[in-house]
Amino acid sequence: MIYYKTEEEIDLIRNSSLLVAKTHAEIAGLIKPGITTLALDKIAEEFIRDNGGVPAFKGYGGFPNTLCMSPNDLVVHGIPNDRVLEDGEILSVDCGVVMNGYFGDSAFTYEVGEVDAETKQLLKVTKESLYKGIEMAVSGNRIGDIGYAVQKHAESFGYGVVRELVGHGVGKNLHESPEVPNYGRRGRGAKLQEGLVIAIEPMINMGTRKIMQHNDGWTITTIDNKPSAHFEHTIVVRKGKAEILSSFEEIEKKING
Amino acid sequence: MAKQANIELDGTITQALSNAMFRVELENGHESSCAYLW
Repeated sequence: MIYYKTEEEIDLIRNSSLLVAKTHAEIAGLIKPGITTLALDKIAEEFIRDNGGVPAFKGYGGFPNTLCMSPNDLVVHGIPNDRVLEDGEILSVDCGVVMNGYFGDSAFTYEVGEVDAETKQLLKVTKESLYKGIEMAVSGNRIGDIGYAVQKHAESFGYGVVRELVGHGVGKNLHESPEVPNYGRRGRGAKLQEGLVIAIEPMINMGTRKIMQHNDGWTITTIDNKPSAHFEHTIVVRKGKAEILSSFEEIEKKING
Repeated sequence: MAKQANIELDGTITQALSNAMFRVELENGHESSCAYLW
């Protein structure tokens, strides 16, 4: 069942999503060679709790931490650890918050030190494909229109579009109907209506789209070990133009200086 | 957090049950006796 949200509910989801945005910004300036993903995770958890929220991922299906930290060839769901980040790497950070009963969910892939041009382009194109998907998220369109737009943009650069993991509805639960794949056919899938709140989250691989899951039950990597990028916004479908509830504004202020 | 996609399979309804549920034979040969419209 797809639940459409009232304006009051959308306000609450917006608040949670903005706390996610601020949490990203809180660690954005610290993502540099020499730091560990576990240290960043602790800072994020404390920040969320200090601001009246609860980390959404901790304990979700048994996930042990606040943030998913996925460097380089890790696609998503990486568990924070003591490994020190190195110059030239990338780090996909996914964060969720629940506050006043409603969730927010947003992800961003960061550069660690100096990243090569090929990898920089993967990040740029993945972020662009998120916005192309969001452009399609208007009343009267269908779920397939979103995935088609994401897929078309990413594949035009020869990248692989992950199939097994998808975006999702967001509300009183972290994962709600409908599923929002990053591939699709125009005019297919559930019809988008005003008040539908979804997380759109392209996961785009530099090489093959094929992924594998590791024995910890969480970590997902590309099978060719080439890098993967991940960007995610929580949005609400409106007439004519979607409204983005999360934000990259503060992140970008921090990383662009 | 990305969600794992539900798996899609083709199947054939072999029996319509009285409670608006269906017996379905899946393409992989397995049978499901509590399929419902969603």
